[in-house]
Amino acid sequence: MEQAVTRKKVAGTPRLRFPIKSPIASCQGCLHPLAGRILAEVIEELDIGGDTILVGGVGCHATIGGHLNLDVLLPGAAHGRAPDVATGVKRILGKRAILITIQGDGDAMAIGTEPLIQAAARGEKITVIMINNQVYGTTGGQLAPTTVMGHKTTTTPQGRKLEDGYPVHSAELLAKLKGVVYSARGALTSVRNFQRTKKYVKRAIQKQMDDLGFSFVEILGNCPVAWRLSPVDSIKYIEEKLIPEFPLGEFKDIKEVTN
Amino acid sequence: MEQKILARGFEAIGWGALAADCQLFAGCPTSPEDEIFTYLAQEFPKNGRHFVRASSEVSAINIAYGSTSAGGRVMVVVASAGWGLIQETMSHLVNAFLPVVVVLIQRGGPGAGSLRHAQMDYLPITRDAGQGNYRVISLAPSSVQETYDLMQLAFHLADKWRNPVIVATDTIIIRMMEPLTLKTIKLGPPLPEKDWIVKGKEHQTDGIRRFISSGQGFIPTRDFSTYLHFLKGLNEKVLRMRETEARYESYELEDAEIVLVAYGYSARVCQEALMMARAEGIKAGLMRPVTLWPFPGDVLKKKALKGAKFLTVEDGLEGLREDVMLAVEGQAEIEWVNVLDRNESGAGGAIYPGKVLEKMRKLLKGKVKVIKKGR
Amino acid sequence: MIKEWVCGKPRLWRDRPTALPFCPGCQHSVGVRTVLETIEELGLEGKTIFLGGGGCVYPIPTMLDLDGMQCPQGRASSIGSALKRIHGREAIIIVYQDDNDGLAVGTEPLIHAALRGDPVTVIMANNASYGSTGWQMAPAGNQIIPPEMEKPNPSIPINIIELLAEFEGVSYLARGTVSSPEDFEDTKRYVRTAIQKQIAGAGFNLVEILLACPTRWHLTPRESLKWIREEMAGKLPLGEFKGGGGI
Repeated sequence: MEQAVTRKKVAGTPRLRFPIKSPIASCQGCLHPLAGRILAEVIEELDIGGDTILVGGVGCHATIGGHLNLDVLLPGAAHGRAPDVATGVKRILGKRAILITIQGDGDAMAIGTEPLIQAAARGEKITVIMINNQVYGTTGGQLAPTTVMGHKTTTTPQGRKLEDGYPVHSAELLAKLKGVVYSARGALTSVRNFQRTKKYVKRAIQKQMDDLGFSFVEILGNCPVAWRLSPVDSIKYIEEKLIPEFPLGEFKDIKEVTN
Repeated sequence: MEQKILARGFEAIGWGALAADCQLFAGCPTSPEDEIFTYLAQEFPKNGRHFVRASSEVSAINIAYGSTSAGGRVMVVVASAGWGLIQETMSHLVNAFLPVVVVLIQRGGPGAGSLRHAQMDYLPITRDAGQGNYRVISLAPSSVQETYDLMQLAFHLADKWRNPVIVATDTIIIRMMEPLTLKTIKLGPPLPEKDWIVKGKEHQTDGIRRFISSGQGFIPTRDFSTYLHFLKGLNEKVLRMRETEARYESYELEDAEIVLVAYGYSARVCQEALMMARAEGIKAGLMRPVTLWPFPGDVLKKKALKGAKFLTVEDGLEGLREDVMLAVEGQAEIEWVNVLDRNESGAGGAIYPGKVLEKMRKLLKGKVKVIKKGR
Repeated sequence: MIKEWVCGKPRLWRDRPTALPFCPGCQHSVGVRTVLETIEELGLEGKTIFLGGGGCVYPIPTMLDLDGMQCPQGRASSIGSALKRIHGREAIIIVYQDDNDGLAVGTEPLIHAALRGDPVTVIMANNASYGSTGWQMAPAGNQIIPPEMEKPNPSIPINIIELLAEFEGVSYLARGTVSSPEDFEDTKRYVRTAIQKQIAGAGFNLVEILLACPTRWHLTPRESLKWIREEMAGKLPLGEFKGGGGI
C-alpha cells in the first residue's frame, strides 16, 4: 500500500501548467481554473504527474485538463462517457496509472448517469471530479439535474418548479454504492474551503493509489454568466443558497469494498 | 503451430481475436450475440485478457475508446439492436484516429425486428452511420474459417489506418459449425509503434505529454491545426483506404453472363445456386465482396461492359444492390433477390438456392438457350 | 376499494400462444400476476397502460388484455414518464422491467424518472439475469465465470431501493418475493400500495420483486427459491423502505 508522498508544498503557478493560450478561455469570475489548480497542486504534491491520465468531459470544465502537462483524453469521447473511457484505460494500463475524470454536472449526472453509476457500482479504480455549477454553462445556462428549486435558468425562466423534478445530490447518491470507497463535496468560496476541497481531492486520489475502489469529489462551482450575477455575488450565492442544499463534507471514507 | 478443430462461428470470433492479441473485450449481451458473450467470458480471462461486462453497448464502445487510447487492441461485439447505440462514439473514434474492431451480428430489424438472421445493416455499415462524413473498412466473412482469418485482418487494418474496422456477420454464420484451422496469419506491412497513446507522461520516451482528442479540428492538436487541415487529413485517409483495401472472391466469373453478388450467408446460398445453374448450362458466376467498404466495384464494371447481367442477393430490403447499381453505372440489367423472397414468412425464413436459380432463369428468359444436362 | 377477490387465472391474461413462452420454473408470470390481480381488484383495467421492457419480459404486454407497449430496452421508464405527463390522472402507468433492463441499460431513464418524481409505478423484476445488479452474484455466475473475471473489481449487486430512498420525488419503495403464498401476498400488498400512491399522485414508486431464473442460474426451480431466500434476500433485504403502511 503506497503512502501519500508530500514532496513539497506548491507555491506560485503549479509546474504542471502549460504557459499556453487556450482556444477556449474561461469567463471572468469562473471557478473552473481554480478547480484546475487544486488538481495541479495535488498531483504535484503526490508526485504522480508521470502516471496520471486525465479524461475530460464535454463542456467548459474540459478546459481544465488541456492546460496541464499530463497525458489527456480531451474530450474523452462523447458527452457523459468519461467514466467508461477511464475504465477502459485503467483496465489496460493497470494499477500504476492514475485515472482522473473532470466532468460537469450536466455531463456527469444527466447523459452520464449510466456510465457514472455503473462504474461506481463496479468499483472501478478511478477518481471522478464533478464540478456542480447548477447549469449547462457551455450552452448558455440551461437547467441541469443539480439545479436547486426556484433557480432561474434559460429553460426554467420562472425558476425550477416541482414538475421539473428535484435536484440530485450526487455525492450522497454515490456514497450509497458499495463499490465507492470515498465520496465528498467541497466548494471554492473561501481560502478555507479551497484547502478543505484540496484535502478531499487528495484523499480521493490516494484511494486510487491504494487500489481500493471508486472515489468521487463534487465541487460546487459557479457560472456568473448564466446566473446573471457578478463573480462576487455568485460566491455569495453558493454560500447562501447552494451549501445549505448541498452540504460540504465527506460522505463516505472506507478502507475496503465489502459486499 | 497449426491446429485443426471443429468450431462454430462465434468461437472463431474469439479464437481470431486471441490470435490477433486482442487485450480487451467490452460488451453487453443482446440477442443473438449472447453466446459469444458467455464464450468470451470464459476464454478471455483464461488467456489473460480483459473481459468487461458493460451496462449497455454505449458503455461498451466508450470503454473500448479508453482501452484503445491506452494502446490495447480492443474489440466490441454488438447485435443490430445495439448497433445504433454505438454510432456517436464510432464517430468520435474516427475523429480521434483510434483503432477498434467492432463485430456486428446482423439480425432482423428495424426496431426489435426479429431475433434471427438478416442482412439489413449494409447501408449504415458502408456509409457513415454517426455524425459527420467518414468511412470505416467493413469485412464480411461467409464461413467459420474466414471469420477467424478476417478477425486477424481486422485488428491489423484497424491499427494500420488508426480507424475502426467492422466485421459484419450474421446469425447463421456465427452459429454454424465447420472445420477451423487455427493459424496465426502473418500480415504485412509491419505496423509502426503506437507512439500516440496515453500512458502517463513519465512513460513517454520523449517526455512530451500526449493529448488524444475527439474534437480534432475544433481543438488544434499536434497533427492538425485547423478544421480544414483535419478534414483534408481524414479525406486523404479515406481515399487511400478506398484505393488499396478492397477485397473480393470470385467464383467462375470469367465467362459468366450472369453475375451473382452476395455476402455473408447469402453468398453460401449463391454458391449452391451457382452449381445448380452451371449444371443447367447457365453461365453464372459469383462475386463475393470480402470488404463491403471499400466496395470492389471495378470488377463488376468490367463485367457490365462485357454485357453481363447482375443478380444481387441479400437478406434485406435494400443495401448491397445500391453499390452494385453504382458500380455498373447504368451499363447493365440488374435483378435482385431480397428478404421478401424468403421461403417462409416467419422470422426463421431464409433465402434458398432454388429462389436464386428461379430469378437467374427469369433474368435470362428468352435470351439464352438453357441446356438441360441429364444427371 | 376492492371490487372482487380474484381466483384462478386473472381475467387479464389472454389465452393465446406466444412466440416466446417462459422457461419451466420462471417466475415472471407470478410477478406479473401480483400486478394483474391488483389491477382487477381495484377496477383499474380501463385506465392501465402496461409498459414492458426488453429481455425475457418483452412478450408480456402482448399477453395481457390491457393497453400496452413493448419498449426499447431500458427506455420504459422514460416512456412511462411521458405517458403520465400526457394522460395525468386518467391513466395508471405500470412499467415492468427486469434488472438488466432497469438497472444496467436503463440506469439513466430510471434514475431520472425517480428524480422527476413522475407518479409512475415501476415493477423491477430482479432475477439476477444479467448486469451489475447481480449476475455475478447469482450462483451461475460463480460456475461459468472464472474468478479472474471478477478482478480487479468485486461484484456487488446494486441496491436500487437504497439509491432511490432519499430522492424527494420518490414516495414508495418496497421489495418482496413470490416464493411462497405468504411472500406472494406481501408483495401483492406492496404493489397495491404503490398503485394507490400513483392514484393519489404522490410521486414515483417502485416495487422490486426477487424472482427465480432456473435456466440462467443452472439450478432447479426448488434450489432457485432456496437461493433467493438464503443469498439474494441477504444482500437485498425485503420489506417496505419508504412510505410504507399504506397512504
